[in-house]
Amino acid sequence: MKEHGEATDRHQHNRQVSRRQFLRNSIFAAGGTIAAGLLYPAVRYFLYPAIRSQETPPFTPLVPLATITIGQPIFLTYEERTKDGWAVVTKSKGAWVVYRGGDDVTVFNPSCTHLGCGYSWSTEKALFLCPCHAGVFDISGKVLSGPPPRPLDRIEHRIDNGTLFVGQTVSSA
Amino acid sequence: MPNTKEGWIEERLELEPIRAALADRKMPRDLSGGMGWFYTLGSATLTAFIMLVVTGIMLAMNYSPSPDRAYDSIQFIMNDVSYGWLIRGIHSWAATAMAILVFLHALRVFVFGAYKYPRELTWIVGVMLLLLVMGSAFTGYLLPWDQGAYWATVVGTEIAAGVPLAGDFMAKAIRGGDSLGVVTLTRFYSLHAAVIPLIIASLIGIHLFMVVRQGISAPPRRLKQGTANSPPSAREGE
Repeated sequence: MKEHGEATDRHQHNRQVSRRQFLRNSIFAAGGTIAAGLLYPAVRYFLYPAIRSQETPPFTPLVPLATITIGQPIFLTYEERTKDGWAVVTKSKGAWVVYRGGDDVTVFNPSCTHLGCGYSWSTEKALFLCPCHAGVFDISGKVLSGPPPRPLDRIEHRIDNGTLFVGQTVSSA
Repeated sequence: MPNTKEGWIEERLELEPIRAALADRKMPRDLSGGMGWFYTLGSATLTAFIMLVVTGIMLAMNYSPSPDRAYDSIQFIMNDVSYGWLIRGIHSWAATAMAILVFLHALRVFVFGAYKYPRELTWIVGVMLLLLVMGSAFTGYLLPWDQGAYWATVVGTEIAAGVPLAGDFMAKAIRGGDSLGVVTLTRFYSLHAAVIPLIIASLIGIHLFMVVRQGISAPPRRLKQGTANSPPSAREGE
């Protein structure tokens, strides 16, 4: 049976496809189609972290603007919730907020641009002072003296319905 | 299939005898006429197992076996990861299919009498595989850590606890404690994703070696009436 089939195979090879060859090719074609159909989702599944559209980091509501004294920098803390895979990660953060009335708000990252110490607002000098290496910034974040290499970093913000929302730090460099 | 009689690899490794032993096996004459379909159940079970291994490895990439994360990680697979719903769906359905197929396969072997001499060892390994498939299904069912999974496992381990004398000990060993908890989930995950699949894969290797080595059994044949060896026929009226 087998010998006969192969002899026929060889004899007809140049002219037509044998029944055996046709069935064999059909099986491989069907199997290949199924395999490719399964491989595509599998590859997409594995590459998901690399090809997903980047989620925009969330804005966290801080306070109603009306509660902030105009012209007086204030330190506010908040909990930022970000998604990490299936986990929701909560980070405790802080920000210096300067409100000048209307929609004019500046939000500073609370770390000194020198080595990351926490600075504070001196009411009598009307300056931001860093205790670690005597960095001094004015109310617009500009370096007045000391080692800080660049002005204070700002945190992006938006105002929605009178409430201040904060997002991510934007380096001032 | 590429012709392995010639070619670069064949010249070096001489694989043709192995291919011939696996693919060019003698088949019983009586498999024509639709009877052969009963002999596909073993291969179908193997296909389901391969699908389960592949999709299971992929699910393990995005699953967290801890009670406070398991459910969320599955929501992540279903809603966020590309085709995660498909991978998990295939895993779930292939598991159901494998449980049914392995049972039908065993039923076919039993009804055809294929477990008899000289294939008793194949049958014994097959029964072990049947039990391991049930164990895999039981441990896998807990992993989503939803209400259905939790209570099914409570009931399942209570059944183990019902065994006289050793029951309490067995239930504790399965749960990893007095009640279902953190340890139960990691335990079941380890069993489901590492221990049981490795044993199943090894036993399938042994099972298939014996099938290839011995050849498959012919379907039972009705003996002619009136011959000396004829047993009393159940189908005398036909």
